[in-house]
Amino acid sequence: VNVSFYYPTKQPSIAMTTLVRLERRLPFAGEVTVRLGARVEPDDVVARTLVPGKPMQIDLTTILGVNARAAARLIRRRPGEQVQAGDTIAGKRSIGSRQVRAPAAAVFSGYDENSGVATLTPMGEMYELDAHLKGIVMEVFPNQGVSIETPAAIVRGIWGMGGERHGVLKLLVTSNDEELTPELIDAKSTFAVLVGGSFVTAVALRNCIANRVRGVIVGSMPAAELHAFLLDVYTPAAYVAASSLVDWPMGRLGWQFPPAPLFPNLLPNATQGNTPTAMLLNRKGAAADLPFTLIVTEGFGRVPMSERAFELLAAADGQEVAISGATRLRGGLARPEVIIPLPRSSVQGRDLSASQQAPTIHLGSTARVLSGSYLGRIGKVSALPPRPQLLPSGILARAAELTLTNGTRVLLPLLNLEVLE
Amino acid sequence: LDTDGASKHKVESILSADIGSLWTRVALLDVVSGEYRFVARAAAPTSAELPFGDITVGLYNAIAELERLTGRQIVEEGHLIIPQLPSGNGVDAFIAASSAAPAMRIVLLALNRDITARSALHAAESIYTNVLDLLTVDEHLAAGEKPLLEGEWLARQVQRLVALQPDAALIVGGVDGGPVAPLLKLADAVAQAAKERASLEQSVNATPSRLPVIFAGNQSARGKIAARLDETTDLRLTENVRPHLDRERLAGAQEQLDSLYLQKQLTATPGYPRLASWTENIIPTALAEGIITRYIATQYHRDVLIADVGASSVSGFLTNDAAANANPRAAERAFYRVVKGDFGLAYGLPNLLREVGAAAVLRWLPFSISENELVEWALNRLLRPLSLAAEERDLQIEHAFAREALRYIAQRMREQANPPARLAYDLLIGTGGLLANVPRPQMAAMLLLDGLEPEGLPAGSVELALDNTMLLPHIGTSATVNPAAAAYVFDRDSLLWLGTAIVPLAVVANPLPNQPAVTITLEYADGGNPLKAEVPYGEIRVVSLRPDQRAQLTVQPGRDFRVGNGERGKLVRTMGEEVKGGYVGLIIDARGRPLRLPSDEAARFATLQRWQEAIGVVAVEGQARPLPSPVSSQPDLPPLATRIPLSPTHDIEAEAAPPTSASLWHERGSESSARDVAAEAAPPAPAAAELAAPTTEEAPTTAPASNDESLPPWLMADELADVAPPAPAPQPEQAVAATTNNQQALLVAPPVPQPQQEQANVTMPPWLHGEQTDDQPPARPGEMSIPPWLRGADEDERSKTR
Repeated sequence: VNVSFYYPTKQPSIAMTTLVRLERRLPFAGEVTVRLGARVEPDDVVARTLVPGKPMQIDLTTILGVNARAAARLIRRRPGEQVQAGDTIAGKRSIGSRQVRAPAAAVFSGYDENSGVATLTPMGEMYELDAHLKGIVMEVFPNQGVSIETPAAIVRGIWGMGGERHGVLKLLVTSNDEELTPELIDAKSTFAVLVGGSFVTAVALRNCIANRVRGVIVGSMPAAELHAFLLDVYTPAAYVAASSLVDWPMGRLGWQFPPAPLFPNLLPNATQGNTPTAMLLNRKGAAADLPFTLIVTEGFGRVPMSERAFELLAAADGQEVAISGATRLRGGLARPEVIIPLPRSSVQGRDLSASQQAPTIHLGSTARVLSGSYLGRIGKVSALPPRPQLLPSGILARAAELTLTNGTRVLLPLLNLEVLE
Repeated sequence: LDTDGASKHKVESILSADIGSLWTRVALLDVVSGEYRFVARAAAPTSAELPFGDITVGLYNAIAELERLTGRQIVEEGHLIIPQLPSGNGVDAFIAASSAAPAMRIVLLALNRDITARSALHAAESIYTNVLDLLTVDEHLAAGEKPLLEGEWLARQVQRLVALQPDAALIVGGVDGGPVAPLLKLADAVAQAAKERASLEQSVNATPSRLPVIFAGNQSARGKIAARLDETTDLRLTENVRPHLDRERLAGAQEQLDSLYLQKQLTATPGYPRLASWTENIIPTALAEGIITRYIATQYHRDVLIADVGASSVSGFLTNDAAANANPRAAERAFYRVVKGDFGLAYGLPNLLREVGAAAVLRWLPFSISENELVEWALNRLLRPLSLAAEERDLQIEHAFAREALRYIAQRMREQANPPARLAYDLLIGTGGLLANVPRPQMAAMLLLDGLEPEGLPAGSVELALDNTMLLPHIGTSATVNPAAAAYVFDRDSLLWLGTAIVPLAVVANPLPNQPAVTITLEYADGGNPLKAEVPYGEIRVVSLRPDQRAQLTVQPGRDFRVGNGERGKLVRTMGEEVKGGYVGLIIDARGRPLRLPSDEAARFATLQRWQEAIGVVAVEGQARPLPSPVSSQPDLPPLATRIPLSPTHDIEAEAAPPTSASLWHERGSESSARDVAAEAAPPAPAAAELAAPTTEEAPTTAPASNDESLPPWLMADELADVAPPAPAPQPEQAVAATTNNQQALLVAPPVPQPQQEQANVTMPPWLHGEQTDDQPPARPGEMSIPPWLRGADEDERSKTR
């Protein structure tokens, strides 16, 4: 039985050697630019498409100073007609009269006589999809994208922010319970993917922006620090505008976590998802990407990174990795991931199919704790009673005894465990 | 699957699934020993998300577990076996309720922020919705901005509407016959946004969809609204939510929202087409719970409130006669439904926290933690929603959130209630994963009391029950295919009785703390020593009254107090009727309404600690002693109409016509379900035998032991606890006959004489502790105490036919 429920694949969340197959798809139909079997580098473009612009609404009544019906008579374009930036859309033909001009090259889509609003759809722009990962093109989906495969080590995070990036892994701490302090981040961190230990603060993240860091991988983050950092990046006005979306009927929302548009993917009620419309809307505007990608492996608070994850990342210090911070909890599960491609030769002749499947729990399994005061700790299953056990909280549930790396034995419900191997 | 085939057969065995956002629960109902009974249930995590992306995967897992527990094959080669085969494998019908889909994102549009907007919110909060925003005509004025040009207002609203990406819009405003023009502004904004949305979708070659729009405002605007919106949106016109300023009428809008949810959200659940190929009977869980609420009201004439605290939704259902009492011409009972989507204890935590604020949650904790820690706790739970509260601290935090979720629901109901701000009900049932899995029933009682603050209106007491088997949604759904089965299972197998709560209410603004709020005298029907207890204001006490016990109760409110709608300081007592016990006992909640917690932290900790100890540890003040004076000599006391054993209004059997042939019942019972169950069944539990002295011919079959080695890890404690038919109610037939037509002799089994101290222990059934020492299943004493007033009138008739 698969006892990890939080990742979009059945692979264990931390794996030394596995086979990663990544699907790269365009948001809408386009052209695939690589062939089956091609070797690709992270920056290679694998597909591209023309993305139509977001329609612009122009209120003719305010600009022309007439009512909606009168404005209709002043329109100088037909629906579907192309206009260049600065072209007149509506207005009297007499000299000196008010004119409405197109702000950009676009198609005049139409006019609504009830509201007095004209709609312009800007010309499309090119969208290029990169490979993100060094590997081999194993599948081509015509007009849509490709799938890229590589043997790799993988560490999945539990939440993150920021898009897909790649860079060289740089270890900045000596142990998994050491904070990634602001002083550790300097010019030497430029373009790197930093590995911290336990947690990171707002000041340190600001340093990351200043030093053009590409990614940060830490065990945890205090909610208050995240709040402070976001206020800093997004300006209070934008932050408050976003948080007041549901500002009714209970009054002020003083909650510290950014709701919808800032991070549409993190909150369960934001179902923007992968629809083309959502992608168009998110392309510009509130859901602007962070200048770097943040990946948190354990959760919120000041929790050390899981020993396993830390050891794996530390061993890969100096290697090129592909990271993504995308997190979505419902309606298309997505969790952040760190992919460390391995040379093909290193896995020659090995059968990696077992590593694609979820490990099951048994005596001697290695497991990670997912909640409570032992969050993130690793241990070996030293007892697996078949009957439900009474937990310290009084709840009766199936549980396992875990012997942690420091020798402590704890009884934990199976639902709070994640089997790694 | 071949559902036509099923309809040709009598529906006897029913497989019911309740697919929640986190857990998929299945239950098997079947005819056992001539009665519809709950046979077994199982659960598995819901598989709506990747790597599965199909709810039927989790459903298969749950069914496989059910097959393992019952030894009955239900699925063959990926298909359900319908109808049931002579071999006993398969089921006659499959039904499902679901709340797995994310809530419907909805935008409200109203003229202004007051009355009609509030009605719109009430209508929206009756199915799984997430109200994204309220757009009003005058909002910039309300915010103190200068008036906007018409076009500016429109552009702003359109931009907002497009960015919010709602699944639906609800337009309300104006009383019938009021001005129409402002409503058209709202319609223009929606039309414009719908057009923009369509053009966006078109630009990426997607088939443009029409935004569903419900109009429930001034009816004289219907024509003009339709002219503006018909072309661009999927417009649904319905009655005004506020036809008059003093009248709210939500039914029309609710109906439209329900149908919208069924059409759009439910069907969008991953794997829905596959599920729909199995059964046509798929309804939202909230509707199933609404059915069972109405059922209890009509069948037993009870004013009932059902509260469901789930992972991503919280809901409350209330039906009462209060309106009918106030206005005799209002023939119908009032029915209130509050359903809050994306609001709950796992996926719903961010919204819950945002609505109530961290301080509100923190006040329920008897220890100090910072607001920041609480937020982090909530976020970590959100990231891994299936986690269990393993430590005491986690459980306390979880329960603090649950209290606030319940309070939110109660508050919403009070807004809608008639008369306003008072909720009248005498039966309170808690359900949902959190309540069903509380380690001790006392915790469930405390959660319900703290969260909903029942006032015991009108009679002065309220019975608390727990749906710890989580059967209510199943029963509600099965009522759609076989009402008789639903009725039987509800009567016999669904509820765990926590006890009766007496709630003295203060009639002065600030009663002195520690003055006696109420003095109760309890005369046990089994003849034990009467018990007298005085409860001071601000305290809560529990008096031992086991589930199988009945007692006469006398309540003397203090000088500044009353019970129910009674008079100040006036003594009330049960007249001929008796109060019923439960796993907690008789609870006297003299903490006052509304509940007040000390603002000083140390005092608050002490108060919370005291309350929790008082209800958790059965605390009987002093020794039981004889009554000082014969209170029953006061003849003209108003009855404390707590538990009137009511006969059902109509005969279930006659209505639904279940099989009446004794041989058929027997055959099915012995050949299929009973035999299959017997494969795992253990001998009758000793406790059951002890209590049910005169056994009937149909000897109780009891729960099989849960001693299998290969249990899946996601199988939770409660799933193990109750498998297979619990012992049928052990009432001898004579007793049943007696109870259905009068109000005496409710005692069913000879009492087990026990010293007072031991009674305290009895209130905690061993199977809730999980302290099983052998492989014998523990007896489920809860099943022993089927309340007489919940028994169908047909019971004794059917007993005769056997």
